[in-house]
Amino acid sequence: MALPGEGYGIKMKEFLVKLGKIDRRVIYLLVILAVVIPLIVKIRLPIFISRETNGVYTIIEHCPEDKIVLLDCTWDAGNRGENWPQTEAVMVHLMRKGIKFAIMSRIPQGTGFGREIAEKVAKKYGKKYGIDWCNLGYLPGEAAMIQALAKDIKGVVKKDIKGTPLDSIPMMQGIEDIHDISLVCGIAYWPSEDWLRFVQGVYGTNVAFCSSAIVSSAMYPFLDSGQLCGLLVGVRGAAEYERLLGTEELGTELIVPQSMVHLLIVVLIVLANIGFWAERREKKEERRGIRDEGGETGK
Amino acid sequence: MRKSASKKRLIVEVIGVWIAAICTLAIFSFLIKENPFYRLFEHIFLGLAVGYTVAKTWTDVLRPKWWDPMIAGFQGVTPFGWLWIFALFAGLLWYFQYSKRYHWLSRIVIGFTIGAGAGMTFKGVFVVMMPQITSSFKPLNSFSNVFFVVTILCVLSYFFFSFRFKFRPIKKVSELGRILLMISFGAFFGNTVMTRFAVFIDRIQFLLREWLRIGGV
Repeated sequence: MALPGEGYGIKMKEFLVKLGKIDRRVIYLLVILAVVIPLIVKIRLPIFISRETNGVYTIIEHCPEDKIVLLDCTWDAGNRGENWPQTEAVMVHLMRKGIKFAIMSRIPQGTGFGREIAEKVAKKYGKKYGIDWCNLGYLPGEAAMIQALAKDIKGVVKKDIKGTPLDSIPMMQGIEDIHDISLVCGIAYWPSEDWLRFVQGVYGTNVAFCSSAIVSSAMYPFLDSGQLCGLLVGVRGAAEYERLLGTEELGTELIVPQSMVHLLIVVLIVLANIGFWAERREKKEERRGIRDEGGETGK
Repeated sequence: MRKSASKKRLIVEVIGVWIAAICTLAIFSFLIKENPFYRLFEHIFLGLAVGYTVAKTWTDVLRPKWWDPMIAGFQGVTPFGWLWIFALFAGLLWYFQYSKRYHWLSRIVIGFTIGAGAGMTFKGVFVVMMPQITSSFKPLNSFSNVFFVVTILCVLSYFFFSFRFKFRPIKKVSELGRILLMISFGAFFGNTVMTRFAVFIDRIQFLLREWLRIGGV
């Protein structure tokens, strides 16, 4: 005969076991809801500025106006979600401060994205191509190119992406080598460490990275050793940067669904572990029951 | 005239957004199960990426940096521009990998590439590693510094494979190193989740804002 409350206990156990076996379609639905709702309903979360984001902001704040900043926009559609808001935030800061910058990319797709964002931001701040910014285009060659570029910019890039000779671009006049660049900002899924090897390490030029969150763990040692002066980590970095600038662009918008999804993942991990624990306990009890029955039969 | 141009641009933009939305949905359809719609767009993406890279490499790199100077050299515009023809011969040596008889010719260019690569790596490793090694010698005057040094010692002891640890305290230190490594892998995995969802959120944001025109900052 079942004891009072025993049925409830069995149901509870079954429910706990089921927690570890949630259908993946249910998880997909929950993820979509966690993303879509914050994008439709305007929600804002408090954003705290990290040391690494502050490093990028501070170095740009102190960039001299007679030198240029080099933006290595080596990212494509695959990492648009993280690198777009980062690029936009950095460009907004540079254009606001009136610091001239040149875009380049180590992959063919990168120059297009960099140009699109620069044109958008330039329109907003009334900046002009050739005077405030320019696009050096696709520069292959990785380490060899970076070393050559540091020694002689115009020797490596004779014309910009539009085919204009660099000497005819007003902002590039007097820009000869790495000593005329105040900061190299590598924006990529995994920014090239060659900038640290052959530019920061050799000439002492400031280097900052805007990386995807996935590789940020590998970048922290460079921050700690002072090789990197700042780091923007994924969307979080972009949102923090926008906070420092006092703007609300893509980073601020994307960080809300990102936080919601992270919360959901934490809840799902906890539920799955409860399910796993309940299942293990049930199996243990089953084994004990079989052993006890065996023992009784033996008597 | 200007009105008609802006109207045309708008139509092109709308068509572009629709194509991007259909591509996104086709790739997301894989979440339900693999299907021909997904396969078709996967192949379109691959073809586009390769085609774009080849075209861009020609227009941005080979033509301005190799072809034009070489032609200018042959036409007598520049004195030594014709020497660029040797770059073509050097590049073509790679293809001798496909020949059993003349395979050795490809080794010449491979040797150059490996030599240059090794030289640059050798130079780069010291420049990158030395500041990190020196920065790991921290004064033990704060909790984070002490924790940093303890972590380094524990993890290094875990990677010491030369002999078996029989001394119990060292064995424990090595075990602690393994646990600390696990924690760092957890951080890596957390960041992986962050990046993957950032990519997904960006696509959903595109579908909502630019395709369906819902919401806004």
